[in-house]
Amino acid sequence: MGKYWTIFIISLKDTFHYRNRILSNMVMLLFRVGILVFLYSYAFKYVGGEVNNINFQITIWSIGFYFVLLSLNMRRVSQTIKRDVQTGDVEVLLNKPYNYLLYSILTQFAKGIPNILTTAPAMLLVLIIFIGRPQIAGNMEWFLYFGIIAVLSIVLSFIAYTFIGTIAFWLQDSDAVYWLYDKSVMVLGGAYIPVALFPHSIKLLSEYSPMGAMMFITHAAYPNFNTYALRLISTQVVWIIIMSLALMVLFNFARRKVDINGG
Amino acid sequence: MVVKNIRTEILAAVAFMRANLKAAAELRTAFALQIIGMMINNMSFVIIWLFFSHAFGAVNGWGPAEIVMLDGLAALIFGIAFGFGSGARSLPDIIHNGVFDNILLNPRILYIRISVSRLEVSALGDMIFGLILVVIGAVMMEVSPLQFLLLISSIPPASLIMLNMGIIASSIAFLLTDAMEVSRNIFEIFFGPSLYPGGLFQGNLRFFFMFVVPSLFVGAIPVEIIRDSDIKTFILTWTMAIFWTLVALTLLNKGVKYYESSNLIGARAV
Repeated sequence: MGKYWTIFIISLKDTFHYRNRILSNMVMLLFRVGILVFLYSYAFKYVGGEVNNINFQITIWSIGFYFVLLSLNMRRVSQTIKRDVQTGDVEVLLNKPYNYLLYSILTQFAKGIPNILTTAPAMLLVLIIFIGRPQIAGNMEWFLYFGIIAVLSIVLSFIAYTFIGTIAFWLQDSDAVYWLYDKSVMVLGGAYIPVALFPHSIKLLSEYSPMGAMMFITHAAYPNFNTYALRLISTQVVWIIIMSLALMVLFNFARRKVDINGG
Repeated sequence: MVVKNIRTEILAAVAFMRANLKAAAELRTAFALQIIGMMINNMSFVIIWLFFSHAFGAVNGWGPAEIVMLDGLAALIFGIAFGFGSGARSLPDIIHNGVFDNILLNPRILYIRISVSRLEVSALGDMIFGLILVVIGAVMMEVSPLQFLLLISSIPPASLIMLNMGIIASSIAFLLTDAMEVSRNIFEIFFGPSLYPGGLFQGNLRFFFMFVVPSLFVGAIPVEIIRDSDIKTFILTWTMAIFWTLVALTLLNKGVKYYESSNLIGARAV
């Protein structure tokens, strides 16, 4: 375990050096949410205040939670693996005395920490000032469910994107698969429009698919979140188990299929 | 003499683009996968805003037909600008990898030479997807011959604005050493709002995204020009294209004066 902790710390320290990147990522995410604040403010006024019992505040907090989690940049693990395969570095990394997948995940997780540490407080502050407090239960039960779903979202995201990245062992350029999966997460996760505003069939797909499960954190903005949080948690656990097994099988095949690109 | 120089520049640019396209198409499977993948990728924005339209209805005349046309035009304009002019956004990468010295020494106009130095295969997918969606949008909007003419004529200035925004965002590389991500985020500030339905932009917000950050000119404004057969806004679009070209040229020339070669020798395909 010590070596993985060292990998994590080195990567974290390295990322903190790039302050311009951290700052620009934070500004860009705040800008994205800021634009959506203006747009939805107008849209809800236009329709008279509520759609499907969802109002402006709930919508913006839901989108805010999405972008805070997005700031961890978990999806980049897929691009990192693809790049390692294309450059040939993967052969060297596979020979190291650590698990390559865990190494990739921990490195990327460390790179995302500075982003979320800057974005989350800034987003919280800006939303509270301009939108007001979220309409949530706000009790211990809510915080417990929120914490569990956040952790499970992060775990599931890393496993899923690592799975996508591992496909590069066969395709070399796995961008097409990555885009397809990533955009499914964007749609079903409630990036620009809350899940509660989806047509019924798409809402079901969002609540039971791995792409939607990765972003269940957005549901924390809904007033009735506590009543179905356990269902969300169990869905995430099921997908974590399925995706982990699939990843282990895929990676075992991938190790046998390493092409040397002379990196 | 001026005409001959312009002709030479255009011929050189076309030659570079053809060479880049041939190089990219060598890996046929990857080439095809990138194009098809990007086309599927772009569907997500159409789906999102159609869901929005389903939930909120038409807002200020923006219904499903306008949303389809918006996404089609935005993709087509992006594809045209960066399919063959990808170098405009890749300037930080070009500088970082030591290839800029070669470009600087080239006797061609720097603005054009930088732009055509790279080809982005996925942007060709954007272009094809955009073309298909524009045709569908035109059918849904039941465009007249005049509207069709406005549609075709709005694409060049919008593409030029898009290209110029790429250059402007990338010019940060002359000031910062680690500029790739910063440049990408600056471009995202411009490009992101261009995908949102124009009916939601009103008042000061509309002014900001027309005249300060010209996002609406590469998405919503062309749609409204077509829908309303708005000649005044059409002329304004061409004016803004010229204005932002001058801004991009000025920033590029000023930025080059800050440039210091690190003597890193990088390989380039063309």
